[in-house]
Amino acid sequence: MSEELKNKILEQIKIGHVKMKPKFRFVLESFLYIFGIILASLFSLYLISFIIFTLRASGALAAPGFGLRGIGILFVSLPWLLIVISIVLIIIMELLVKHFSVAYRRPILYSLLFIIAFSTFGALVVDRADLHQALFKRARQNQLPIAGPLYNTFDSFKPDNLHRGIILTVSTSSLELQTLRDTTSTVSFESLLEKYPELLEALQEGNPILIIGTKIGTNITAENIQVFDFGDNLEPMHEMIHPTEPPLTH
Amino acid sequence: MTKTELDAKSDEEITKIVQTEDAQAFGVLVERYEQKLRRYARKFLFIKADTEDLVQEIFIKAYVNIRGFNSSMRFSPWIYRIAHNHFINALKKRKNEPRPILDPETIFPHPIAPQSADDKIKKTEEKLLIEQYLQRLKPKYRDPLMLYYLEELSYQEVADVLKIPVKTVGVRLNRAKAQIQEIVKNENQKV
Repeated sequence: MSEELKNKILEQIKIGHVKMKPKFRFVLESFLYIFGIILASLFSLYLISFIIFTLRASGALAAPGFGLRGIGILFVSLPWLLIVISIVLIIIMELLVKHFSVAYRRPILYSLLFIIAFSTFGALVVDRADLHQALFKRARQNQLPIAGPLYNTFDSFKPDNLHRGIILTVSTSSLELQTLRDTTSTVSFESLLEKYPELLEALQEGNPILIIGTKIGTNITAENIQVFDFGDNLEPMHEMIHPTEPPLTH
Repeated sequence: MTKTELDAKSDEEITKIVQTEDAQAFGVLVERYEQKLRRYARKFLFIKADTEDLVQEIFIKAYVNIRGFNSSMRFSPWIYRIAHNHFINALKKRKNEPRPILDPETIFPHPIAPQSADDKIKKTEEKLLIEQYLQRLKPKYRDPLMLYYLEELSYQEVADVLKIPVKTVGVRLNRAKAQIQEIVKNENQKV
C-alpha cells in the first residue's frame, strides 16, 4: 500500500502535474508580513503621537490641572475614532506577528504587551521629536498639501468650553486671548478676582493660558484660568509669521 | 543518490535534497509519513474508511510548498501542521465543529512544569485510555492529546503544529486527561 501511494505521487511529480512553488514566493510572503508589521507600526506610532499632539494643542492634556472637572474635559476631548483605529492597528500587528514562531510560541499577552509598550513609548518619542508641531506649522501656512486638513482640525475634538491661547493684552477685568487658530477673543475674568485676587498679577502679556469658560461670539466668560507652561513651542500664527513684532493690540 | 543512502538520512536532510537536487527523494518522506498521517487522519476525522485520498492531498501540498520549509527546523511538525489544516478544512466541509479563533488559554502565561521523564512512563498506559475516549473531548483538547500521545510529538512540536504557546500544550493535556478521568469515573459509577 505504501509503495502504491508513493509511486502515484512520484509519477505526478515526474510528469509535471505537481510542481514546487518557487522559493521567492515564500520569501515574498515573509517579506510582506514584515512589511505589513512595519507599516502598521509606523502608522500606529504616527496616529498615537498625533492623538497626544491634538490633546496637547487643544489644551485638553493640561485640563486635569483644573481638578475633577478638568479630568472630565480631558475624557470628553479624547478622539475616540482615532483611538479605535489605533486599537485596530495594534490588533492587526498582533495578528501579523503571530505568523512568526517567536510570537506564537509564547502567550498572546506577551506579544500584545510588547506591541502596546512599543506603540506608546514610540509615540511619546515621536511627540517629543516635534514632528507634529512642524507639520502643524506648515499646515497653517498652507504648505502641507495632503495632511493639511488633518492638522487644521486639531482642536475639533475638544469641548467648546476649553480655550488655549496667549495673552495679548490685560486690563483689570478682561484680557485679549489669541488662539492657535489665530483668532482673538475677549475673556472676562471679573468674577474670578474675588476668589483669586492674585490672578491679575499672574496674567501677563505673552503668557500661555488655559481657560474654562462659556464662549458667546468672541466673548468668553472665564470660570477658571490657569497660566500654563504647555511644554511646547506652539504659538499663535501671528507670532509665528511675525516673531519680532509686538503682540497685537486692540 | 541510492535508496540506501537516502534511508540513512534525516527528514530534514532529505527535504534539502528534494528542494535542491532530486525531487524523487520525496518518495522516502512519503514512505516515512504515510502510515503516521493515515492514523492521524483516522483519529482526527473519526473515520474508518480508507484515507488514501486525504493523505495523498497532504503529501502533494507538502511537495508544492516544500521550498517554504526551513531545513534548520524539524520536518515532522511542519507536515503535521499541513495535515492539521487540511483536516480542519475537511471537517468544515463535513460538519460544523466550531474551533475558536482566540482561546483564553493562549493569552496568559501558565506556570506548568515542562515535560518530565515520568510523563513518558505514564504515556503508554494513558495512550490506551485516550484512544478509547478521544471522540468525547472538545477539539481543542483532542488535538494536543492526539499529537502528543498518539503521534508522539514533543510539547514543542505540538506547539508548532497547533501554533499555540508551549505552556498551553501542557495546560490542555492536563485538562484533557482530567476530563477523561471524569468520564471514566462517571461510567464506573453507572456500572
